[in-house]
Amino acid sequence: MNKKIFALGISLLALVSCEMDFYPSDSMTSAQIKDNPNSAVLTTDGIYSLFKDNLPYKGESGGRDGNYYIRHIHQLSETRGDNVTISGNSEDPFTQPYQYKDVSDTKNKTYSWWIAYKIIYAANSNIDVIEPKDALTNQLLGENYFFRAIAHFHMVTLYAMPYVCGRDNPGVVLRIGMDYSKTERATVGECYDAIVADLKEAIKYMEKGKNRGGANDASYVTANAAKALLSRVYLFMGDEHLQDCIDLCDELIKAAPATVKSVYSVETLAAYPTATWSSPETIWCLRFTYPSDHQAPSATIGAMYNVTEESTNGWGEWYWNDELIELFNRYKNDDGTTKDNRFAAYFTYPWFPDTVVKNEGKKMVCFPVKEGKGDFCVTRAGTVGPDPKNEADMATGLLPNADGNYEFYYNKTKYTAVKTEVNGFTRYFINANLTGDPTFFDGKTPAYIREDVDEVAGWRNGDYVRYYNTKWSGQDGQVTMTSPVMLRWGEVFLNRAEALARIGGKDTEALEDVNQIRRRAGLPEEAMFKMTNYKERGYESVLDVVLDERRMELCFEGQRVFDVFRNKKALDRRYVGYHPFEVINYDDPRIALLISNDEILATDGFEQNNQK
Amino acid sequence: MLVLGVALALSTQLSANELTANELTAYSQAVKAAVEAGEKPAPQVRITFPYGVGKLEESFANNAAGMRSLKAMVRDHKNDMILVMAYASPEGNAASNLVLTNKRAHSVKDYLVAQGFPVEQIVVRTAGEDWDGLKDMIGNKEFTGKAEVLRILSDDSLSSAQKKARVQEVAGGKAWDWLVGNVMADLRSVQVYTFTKEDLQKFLNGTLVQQQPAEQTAQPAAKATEPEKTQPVTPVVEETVPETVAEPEPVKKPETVVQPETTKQPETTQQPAAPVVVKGQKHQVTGRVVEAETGEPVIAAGVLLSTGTGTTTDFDGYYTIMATDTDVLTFSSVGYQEVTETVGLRSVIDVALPTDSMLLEEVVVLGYTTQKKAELSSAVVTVAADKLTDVTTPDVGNMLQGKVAGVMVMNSSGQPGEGAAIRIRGTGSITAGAGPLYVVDGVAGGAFNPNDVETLTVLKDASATALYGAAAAGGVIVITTKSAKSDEAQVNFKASVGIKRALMGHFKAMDAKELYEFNELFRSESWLSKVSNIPSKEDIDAGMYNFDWIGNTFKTGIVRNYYVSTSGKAGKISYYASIDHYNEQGSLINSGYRRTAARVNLTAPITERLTMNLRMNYSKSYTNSARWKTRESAYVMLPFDNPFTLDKDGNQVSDDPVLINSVTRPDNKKRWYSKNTYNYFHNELYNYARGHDEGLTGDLQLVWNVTDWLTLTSTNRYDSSGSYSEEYLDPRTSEVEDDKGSISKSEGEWNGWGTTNIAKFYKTFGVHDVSAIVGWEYGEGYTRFWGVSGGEMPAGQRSLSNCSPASILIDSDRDYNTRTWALLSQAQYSYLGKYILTASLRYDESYKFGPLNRGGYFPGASAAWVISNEPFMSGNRWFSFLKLRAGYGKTGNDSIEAFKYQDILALNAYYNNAVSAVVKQQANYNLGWEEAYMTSLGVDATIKNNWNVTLDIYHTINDKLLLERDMPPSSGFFSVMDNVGKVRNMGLELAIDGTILKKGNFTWDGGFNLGMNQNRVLELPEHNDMPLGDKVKQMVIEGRDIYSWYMPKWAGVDVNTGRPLWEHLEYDDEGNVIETTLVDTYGDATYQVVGSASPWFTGGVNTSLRWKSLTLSATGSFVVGNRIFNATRMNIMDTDGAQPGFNMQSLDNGLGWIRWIDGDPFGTNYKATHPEAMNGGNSDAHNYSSRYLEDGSFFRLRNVTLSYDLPTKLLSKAHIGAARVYVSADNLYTLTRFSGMDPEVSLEMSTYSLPGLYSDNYPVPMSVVLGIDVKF
Repeated sequence: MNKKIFALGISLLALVSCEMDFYPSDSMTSAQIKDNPNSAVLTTDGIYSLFKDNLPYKGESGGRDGNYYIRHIHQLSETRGDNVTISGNSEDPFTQPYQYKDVSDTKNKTYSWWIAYKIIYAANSNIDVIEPKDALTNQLLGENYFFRAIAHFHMVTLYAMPYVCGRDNPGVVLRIGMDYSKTERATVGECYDAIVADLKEAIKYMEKGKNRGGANDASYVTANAAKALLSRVYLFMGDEHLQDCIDLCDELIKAAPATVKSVYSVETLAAYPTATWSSPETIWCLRFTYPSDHQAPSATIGAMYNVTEESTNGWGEWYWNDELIELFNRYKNDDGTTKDNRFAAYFTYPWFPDTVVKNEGKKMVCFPVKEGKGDFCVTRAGTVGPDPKNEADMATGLLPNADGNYEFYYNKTKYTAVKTEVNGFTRYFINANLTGDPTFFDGKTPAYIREDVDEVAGWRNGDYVRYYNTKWSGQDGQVTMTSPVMLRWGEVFLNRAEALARIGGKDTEALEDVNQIRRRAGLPEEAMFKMTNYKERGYESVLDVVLDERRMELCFEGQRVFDVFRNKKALDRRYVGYHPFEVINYDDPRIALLISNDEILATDGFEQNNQK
Repeated sequence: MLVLGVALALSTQLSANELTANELTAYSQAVKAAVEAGEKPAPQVRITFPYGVGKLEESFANNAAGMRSLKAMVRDHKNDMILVMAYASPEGNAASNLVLTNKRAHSVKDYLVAQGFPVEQIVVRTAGEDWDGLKDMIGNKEFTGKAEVLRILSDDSLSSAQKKARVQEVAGGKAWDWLVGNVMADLRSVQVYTFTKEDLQKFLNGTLVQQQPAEQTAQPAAKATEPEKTQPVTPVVEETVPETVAEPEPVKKPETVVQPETTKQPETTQQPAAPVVVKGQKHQVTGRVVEAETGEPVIAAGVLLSTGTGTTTDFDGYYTIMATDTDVLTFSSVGYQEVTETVGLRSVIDVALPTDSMLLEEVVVLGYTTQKKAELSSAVVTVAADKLTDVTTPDVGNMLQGKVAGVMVMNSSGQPGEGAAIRIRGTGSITAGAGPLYVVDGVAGGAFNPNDVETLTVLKDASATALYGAAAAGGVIVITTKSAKSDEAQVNFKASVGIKRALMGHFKAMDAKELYEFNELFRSESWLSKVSNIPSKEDIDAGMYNFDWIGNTFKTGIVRNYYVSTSGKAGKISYYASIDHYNEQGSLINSGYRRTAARVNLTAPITERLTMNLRMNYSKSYTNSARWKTRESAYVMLPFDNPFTLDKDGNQVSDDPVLINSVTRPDNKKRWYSKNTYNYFHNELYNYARGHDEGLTGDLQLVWNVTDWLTLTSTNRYDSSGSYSEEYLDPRTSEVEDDKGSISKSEGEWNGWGTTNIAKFYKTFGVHDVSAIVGWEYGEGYTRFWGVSGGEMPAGQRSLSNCSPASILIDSDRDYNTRTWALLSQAQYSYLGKYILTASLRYDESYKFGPLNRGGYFPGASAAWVISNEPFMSGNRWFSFLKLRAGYGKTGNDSIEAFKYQDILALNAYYNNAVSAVVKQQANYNLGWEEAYMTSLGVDATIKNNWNVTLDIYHTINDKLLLERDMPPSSGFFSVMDNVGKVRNMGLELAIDGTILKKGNFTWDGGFNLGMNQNRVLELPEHNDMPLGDKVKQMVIEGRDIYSWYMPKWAGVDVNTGRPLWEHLEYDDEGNVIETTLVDTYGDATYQVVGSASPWFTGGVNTSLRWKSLTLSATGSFVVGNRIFNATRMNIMDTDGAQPGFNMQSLDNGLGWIRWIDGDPFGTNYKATHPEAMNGGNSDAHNYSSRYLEDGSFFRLRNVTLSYDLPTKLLSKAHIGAARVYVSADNLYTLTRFSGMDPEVSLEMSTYSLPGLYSDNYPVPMSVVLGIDVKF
């Protein structure tokens, strides 16, 4: 009996000390996926999803909190330009890049840096295994080259000084191939060269491949997308590739759908964000599907720009800069509405209908004042009567005096917003001689006259209305949803325009491209630029015309800050908002964002950007 | 004495040979003659024993013959009495000699019984050390110092210990050595006599009394000392002198069956003459204290006067004390029940103490093994069921709070059914699980219901937990469920009903008036009067617009608990069965929990040596969870809003909540003031989050006693559990996005089986007790969970099939298998119950690790030294028990997510509605066990026979921590799970309990425990600090506590400006602070470590006062020195005007909060704690800083219970065994400086929370419960 038990015990022991490899049913190992016939499709599509998905991050489960790559990239690009303004600190870490007060550990940066390299890792693994033997595999291989390029491009534009500041400046970590033994920063030049090389490979393979989205679906990367991106990259690279850029754009535009040149009505433009993937305007967009990709309606890019009453989703924290509003409003209809369909389509009123009290015909002066240590501006509104609490008494409104100036009280002190003509347009500045006034910044402080002042009784926006935009709204009826456009025809025209303006001797062609875009926007012929009139309108060069047009056409698409700096221009941030009142030159060291500490600390000797 | 000597000589001769029948008869006659002569007869048969051995060994010396003589004795003396007297040689330790002689006597008795002799005709007496025998034996021997030895042995004034000490000194120890070498062996004997009944009585009354005072049974300790204590001590029948020989007077009280007693007053004692006793004057009282069952002297028993002064008994149980006739003497000793005697006119008071079987033989269940409490060699604490279940909760963790030193329990939520977090000896792991392992009925894991718990044992020390290897790094809690205690059928019914209400602590939200006044501080009059979000001052002053959101959200809840159990024996089968129903309605609206659990435990002997235990537990519980949005909103809604239907004038006209989805109310078209434009009372009409769990556990255990030294146990368990949860948002409510409605459902399932097979060996080799176990465990499990959500359904529909197809989302769907196996072994060696050594080794395999590192070896070792058993401790008056323990052990932790070692592509991603594969995780095939090494030292002592003191110190290193090691993110991976980092915990634990006062029917007991722990992070990967949390941060830093808060340090309010101040630090190159300045700009403040969420110490106190049938008991627990981050204040409720759409926390909370006000109208600005109020907040004063870090220390009166035991007489008429009614109150009082509702905050790290983070918590309730406990 004992012996039997013993024998049984031994045999059971032998039985149990066996296989302990288990796998979860919803994942695969890399060895397992290789057995899958369409593994290359699965892993390439995985890269697309990395742009939009919320991955588990530092103990956060991921999924629904708005922590996703393209949102952060957008945030880090757009808020550093001069199109959006904010009214106060936000829990969302866009405040730091917006204010050019970068710190190294904000979630938007650490997460997106990581995902960029995850995209690159996935692309590297795919490039390693995909054999280009047919249309599909050629296409997939090309897409992976494209992804490796665009992720590196995002990183080098955010974390390095502009190319025009020098090829030898530190760029970012360049990961070409599966050798991950070294972690060091390549130079800016090396990065751009690698990006150009990858995009050329992408074009080469995808021209042999077949667009996976078909005719009416711009959800997938195509050879055109690679060309369009390359044309943009060329613009960043000083004047070395301007002709390449022009050639590439010519080639693209020749094959462009006819509709991309037609006039866009307000309705067409307003409908564009609701179905970007199916619009002929789109070259490539990141397809967000509803509802699966809209699990956190308050955490999308659109949620930063908009919020409606029906759905309290969204924050509406990024507003139109008054300057941009004025730019669009230069051509008005008789009824005071703008003639620019782009503005009419995307400019919107905050939703608080029953909290807003309209004060028809009443006006208010809005202007930046000092806050904190003195370099900060916050928006204040002037009042007409002395009020000890600095509150705007908007119900009364302001009226211009005989000179067209506006007198108002602020901090019990009377100031005047003086009417001034600039570049043929009316601007207002707070009355001169402000040196030493603790309230205002030295130099000219712009003021904006808000007409038909609406007072807001709600808590959200403070005391006067700030305006939202709907460029990121409306897909599937969702106020905060769109499929982000990554590349579109409008940009290709303007890329060519910029290259033409910069290359010299092609100003007429450049203005023609600009006018092409302005015509699409429904502007009348008198609003078109000619060689003869652009100087009258206050522009010193055709390039400035192109840049203003890019600012309007591509507003809120994350391009503006790069447009300015790659052309060695300064960014004037002396406008109302919650940021330092300053002008940032193209070689300001703060332009290169601080790299996440996670990266710095993990590698000995890894070079951080010096922002001072 | 002369006759004795002859008889002894005869017996020595006789014992060598088998007695013939004739010789026996002749011998009986000789005995009779000796008895007649009033002398001790020579023994009839003599059995000898090896040194230190208590067991009858046939092969030793002449025992074979002796045993044949015993057989003959049984055959020929069927109608006579047999007296078994056991002796030990005097060379050993007196206390262990007593134990030994007892064993020897019983081994012979057992032999006689086995031969068929009636047990009731055997009288056993143990005499301990046989000095007289020694004296007689050396009469004709020659050795150095003989004369001196004889002189000492003849001196009757010397105690046994004194004799020994003196003899050992003779001739420099040579005499003693000779004795040991030559004669003592013969003294290790049991002498067996036969008597007629009459002779035996005479013998016991006469000769023996004179010769062997040890045999004197005692004076009437007649009164049952604690009649209410239902702990009947069954008389040890075989040791009781049959009634016929008992002294007839005075007549015994029939009720007092509790203890054997002889009522005889000894005619003579060693006292020369009784002193004259005068009433009221002190006189000398002497006597002897013996154990009631065996008559053995009780050494060092306490003899206390009612005044509190007293003495202890000597080595032979004698005492002398001065007392007056009215004094009451209390006799007590560890392991015995107390006996009290009024002195009266007596000068001699002998006492027999009944043993307290609970204490003496208290066996502690350690999971795989059991051990006598006295012989434990590691830090183990047992909590008895009745001590556990004072608090009304379905969670055993909650019950443990404050009851065990070094066990920190934080019960962070008032959500009914929510369990508490438990940390034993600090937190060693940073990200892997740190909670304890439950071992239920001998198998790791398993389910149980608190009312079914017989004992709960906490193993704190790695020398004990190492046997459990895997997942035992956080300590082990061993649960033993109830079984039949006796053969008699017993039914137990318990019922309790009570009410509960959430604790609010210092927290108070502003009412309308205070909020209006607060707004006046930073709002212009014109704003307040015209554009404001605030009703008019007149209306507020008139008492309108003042709704108490919190008061209406946290309401009185009801808790009910019913339990019925039955136990006993039916045929051969012992059974215990119970059903328990717990139902708690939470203090927060729409939260609740109910659970029904049933258990059956059966024990059936299959064969003589094979026993089967069958245990089944089933439970099902339903939970209604408090919804986060409701809980959070209760804090922040403005008092100006009323959620119920109002008329035009703002008067409430019904209790129907109104739907709010804009700033205009639908009922009277007036403003909705709060920033949150929804009304959660309306949402609560339709929306819910609820779920249910069920679990079935079945154990089949076979115990096979193969031989008397080997037992095989096979425990096989099947375990199946499932959980389901569902959250529903109705389209009619305003909570849901776009009012489309949503429902999400998730379901999980776990089932598995396991087998634990253990062989236990135990054998005694002389004085060496050896036991060992070897075992193996094997188990397989299957886990599955999935979740689906949908929306856009018609109102009220909860079926996913009624949702819009486009809205259906699969949130998760995953299953996987698991397997575990382990080998385990343990050996224990005990020498005379004095030196105990334990060693164990376990081998575990975990599928969670890479193929090469799955195995983990977990050794443990401990030693204990029972100092109080040493000779040099005899006679000391302080320690009746003293034990020193030391232990070392290694345990492992694999409490991480599965599959962390593999490279994983997640397939739950998609693009453009097509499935895609995303690289999720890089492989780390080297991943292995997290290890904890614990060294500990402990002392267990009983001081002055009353105070049980346990003191422990420990030192634990957690090494190879399972951490997500950071990778350069430019590799594409943020981190990879790896074995890196090291944490140390050091601590001290102290537990004291005892009786503070006892007087007559009044007893006051008390206990106190304390655990101090110091935590230090010793090593991190690349020495990099590791941040935890996003906005609210803790920083894991080498050399710091694991839960170190990291934030700008708040420096109060600038008296002059009312602006906030923070610390700014300047560092030198080596990181030392060289300058500290105060700054009033948030951006200039320096992030630094500001305190820790770990407490300095935690502990508890408990006390009980008993007077007759009334008992008042109380338990308290405390936590000192931890810091809590109050995120509720930072986010909204204490933000100086930054969040004007939300309500604020009242500053009038008794904590001295004062706001700085421009112009200083009250002259209080100099002590302002809060900066000036400003619209939008004052210069980031409400930003993340230690302004919101608070002292988390508290003392909480955890429970107070007043109970009454109904009189037995009354109950017996109704055939009720016992009944108790009680009223019990939980969390009656909390002493704290914390400004939130409840300073008990979570210790768990989760996605949304850090240990010590307080945010809109659901506070635990105070409750009052009425209950009854009846036994039939």
